[in-house]
Amino acid sequence: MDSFELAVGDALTMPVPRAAFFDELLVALREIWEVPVVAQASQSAGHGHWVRAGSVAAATAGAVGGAAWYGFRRRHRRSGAA
Amino acid sequence: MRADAILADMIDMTADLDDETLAARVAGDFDAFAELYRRYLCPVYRFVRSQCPDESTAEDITAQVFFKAISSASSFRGEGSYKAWIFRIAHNSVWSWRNGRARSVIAVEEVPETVDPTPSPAAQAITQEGRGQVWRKVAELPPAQREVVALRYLQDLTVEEIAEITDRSRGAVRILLHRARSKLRSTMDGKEVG
Repeated sequence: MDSFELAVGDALTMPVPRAAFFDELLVALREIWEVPVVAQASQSAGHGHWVRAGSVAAATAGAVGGAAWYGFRRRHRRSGAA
Repeated sequence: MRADAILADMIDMTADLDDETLAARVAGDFDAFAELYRRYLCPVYRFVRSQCPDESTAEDITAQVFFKAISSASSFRGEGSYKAWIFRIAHNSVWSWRNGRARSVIAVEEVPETVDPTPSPAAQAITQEGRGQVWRKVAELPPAQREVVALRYLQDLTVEEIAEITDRSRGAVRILLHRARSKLRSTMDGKEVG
């Protein structure tokens, strides 16, 4: 990369996530990981059977992830506004 | 469980493992995912932040990326790199948000307020004001050009990887990069390109 491209890359490194965001999201991810359907999908993967994208288990896990994200966002915004 | 307790529980060995080995363990081992999260939160957040107008939106989209990553962990089959896989999720999340908002240009006044306190030696030669100016110029690029610029110069991904992530041909990625570079160079020189 030339100096121009390095300058562009450098400018884009300006933002860093807030430490509180890092912590809150990690805790929320731990909670979703403990949801049985995700663990179930994980166990089957552990036995060498990848859950295919689009399968019922993967779709359910995705839906759980989506629901968890909405819950996280709602709590996150509420705590941020407080 | 608190974040510091989660991190304290992580086995030191995970730090020595490559991304793909960790990804294969995510299903039965949260520590493996926590290590991937530690490695990729900042890169994903920076990429997302470069594509959207404010910190709050960037946090929402970043959270969505990691929820998808953990809930769909078993769909990572190790056929490509984990980095490409998670950036594909980030790409899809950004475009879903963008399609929902029908927004194409980042408000130029939204230069990040949170700044990396440990810039690289190369970065130290550039003033904060200069970095803000470059940020604004990148923010004014069309979304597709802005995205490939971020993936190339922020994440140091190859044209092949960017093509895989964005579901474009390598030729299309090269054209987008060429146009973005030309526009950035011209506008930074004070000449506008049509």
